[in-house]
Amino acid sequence: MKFARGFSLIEVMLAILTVGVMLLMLQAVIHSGALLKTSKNKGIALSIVRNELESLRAGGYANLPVSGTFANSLIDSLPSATTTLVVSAHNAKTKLVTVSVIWQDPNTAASSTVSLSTLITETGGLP
Amino acid sequence: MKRAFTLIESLIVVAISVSVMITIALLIYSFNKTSGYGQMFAQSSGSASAILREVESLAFPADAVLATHTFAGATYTSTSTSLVLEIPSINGSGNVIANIYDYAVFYVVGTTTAYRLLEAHPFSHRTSGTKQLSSTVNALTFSYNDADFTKVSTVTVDIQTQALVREDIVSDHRREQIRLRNY
Repeated sequence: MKFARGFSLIEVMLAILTVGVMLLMLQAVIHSGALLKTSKNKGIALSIVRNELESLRAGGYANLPVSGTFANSLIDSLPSATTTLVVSAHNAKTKLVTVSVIWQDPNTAASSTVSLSTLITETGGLP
Repeated sequence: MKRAFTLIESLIVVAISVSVMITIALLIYSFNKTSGYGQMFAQSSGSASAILREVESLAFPADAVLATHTFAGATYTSTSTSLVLEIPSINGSGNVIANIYDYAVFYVVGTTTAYRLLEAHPFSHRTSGTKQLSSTVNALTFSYNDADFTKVSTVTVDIQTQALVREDIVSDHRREQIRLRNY
């Protein structure tokens, strides 16, 4: 045979397919890391807002603070996180409290938010 | 007669095979490393959430933190590392059955494994049993709003989980206060 024969189309396609599948799998594994971090941060944010709501409910209607921010010892474990607390009148004897944590996951353009609301009434409430 | 390979040809083949093998090995290595890390990461933060949800699900309906209670022979005491709860029993529709109680305890065995033991009254709709909540606990701390357990209405749960993946440490920290709704 004077000239070596080249690769057939099938061979080239199979090679590209194999390499492509491997790279895709690697990409998926790396991407799952980012998803895991996001879900962990969501869990932390959720426990921060639940803790705040619980302490506001326990404090009762008379001790509700004005709108603003609130403090939490775990807030520094979220990347560039801020907290907001909004207290508004729902009706004459009820206030609507909305507690949010906003943070910025690395490598994402938009910031993430976890927000919970509750109604706190003048009478009744937690023992 | 067939022509043999020249030196150059064999060298090129060897070089290509080596670089392909190195690429594949690197791919497999990073694949393993990333997935192992991901697994431990999910376990550490997932189990922190699991402990928190489980404590919530039993402490919200509880009416008291007990200083001590005997579960089928074994006695557990409420301390900074274990929590014993008395929970009014419920029927199939979720309504409280008067004067009968279920008992639950959260505790850590060794230094890393957290369990929940629930002892339900025979009439209760809850299911008795022991459940492993986490195997990556670093510190599980309960604090109470009163030194006298009969006056405790709020429990603060602080969970730190930690897992070692090769040379990396993955950890998580959660803290939440829970008010007994039936106190």
